[in-house]
Amino acid sequence: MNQRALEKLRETHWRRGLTEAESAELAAQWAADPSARAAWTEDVALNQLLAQLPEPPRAASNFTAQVLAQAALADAGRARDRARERSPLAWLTRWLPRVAVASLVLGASLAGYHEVNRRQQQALVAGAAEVSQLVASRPEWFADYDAIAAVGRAQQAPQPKADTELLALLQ
Amino acid sequence: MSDDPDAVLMLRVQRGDTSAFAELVDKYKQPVINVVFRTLRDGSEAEDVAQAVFLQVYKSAHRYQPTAKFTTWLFTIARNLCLNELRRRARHPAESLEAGFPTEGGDELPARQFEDHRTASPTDALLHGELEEKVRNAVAALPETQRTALALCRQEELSYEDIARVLGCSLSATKSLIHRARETLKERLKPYLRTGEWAAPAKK
Repeated sequence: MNQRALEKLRETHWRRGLTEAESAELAAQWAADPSARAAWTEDVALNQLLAQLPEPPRAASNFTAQVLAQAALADAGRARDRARERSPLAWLTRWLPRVAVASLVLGASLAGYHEVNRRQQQALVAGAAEVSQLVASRPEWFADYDAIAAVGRAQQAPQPKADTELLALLQ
Repeated sequence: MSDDPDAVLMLRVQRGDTSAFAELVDKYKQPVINVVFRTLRDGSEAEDVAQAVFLQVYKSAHRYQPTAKFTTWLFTIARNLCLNELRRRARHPAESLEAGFPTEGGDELPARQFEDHRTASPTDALLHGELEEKVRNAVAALPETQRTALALCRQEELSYEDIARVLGCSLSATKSLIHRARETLKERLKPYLRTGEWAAPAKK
């Protein structure tokens, strides 16, 4: 027997006890080469030790029934989800909260915008009323108002460019 | 059409045949419980996780490709759920009801006591319990991949090639994992290895 066959027997031995035929095959190998036996002793001993571990529990008699019941529950859940998705109410239940939130945000923004506008207009009206009261009570203060306002506008207007040619001639 | 009879059953499951699914569960419930138990080392949870494995198989049936061997796919799902369970335990460490009780010396008593009618005396029972605990602790201390490789190795439904696919590594790497796991165990359990005795061959 070659080393490869021996290795295959060892790999089989890792998995399970050897059959009678395999054991006989191994015994023949040991007879031919006693040194091969030594390499196996620890492996055999380890298998014996591993056999000390408790066996896995046996499956309960109703194991399959329980799994099938869970599968049926999963099926029912999936069917319920599909039916819910297909119902016309599904659109509402999915989109209604989003539409409601969007409407709320939009409404609040519009209300805020209108409120700011209203306050600005109120302030303008109040200012105009105050000015007219002042004009009515002190007309002399505003006698030269148009001339003064024209000076202000003239100061703010863009200045003409200097006539550099004329300046040069004058010099 | 695939030659694998389990793949044929899975194709029937894809078409909504629950009797085919029941057949698969019946056939593989014990191998799945075995692997889950050896990976999680918890008898009480092994059955729950095994049920979750089959439920996942049922829910994912539409994704199953008959090109893959059913057992490879099944044990890959089992391994993933075991990994999830181990991660969950790591995040939420809690004392299992079956966990051992710490003693004054700081050691733990064996987590599960099994009545063994074959043992003759309390002393033998104690020695047997102690040895069992040593072996269990040595296996528990192995890295997860080595422990899973060992657990899958004891499932005869899976070839070494299948185990490699479940673990997501090459055939040689898989054999190396098993070899290293066994070498580590031999090293850790050296004082307990009784050499020279050949176990009675299994009847096939």
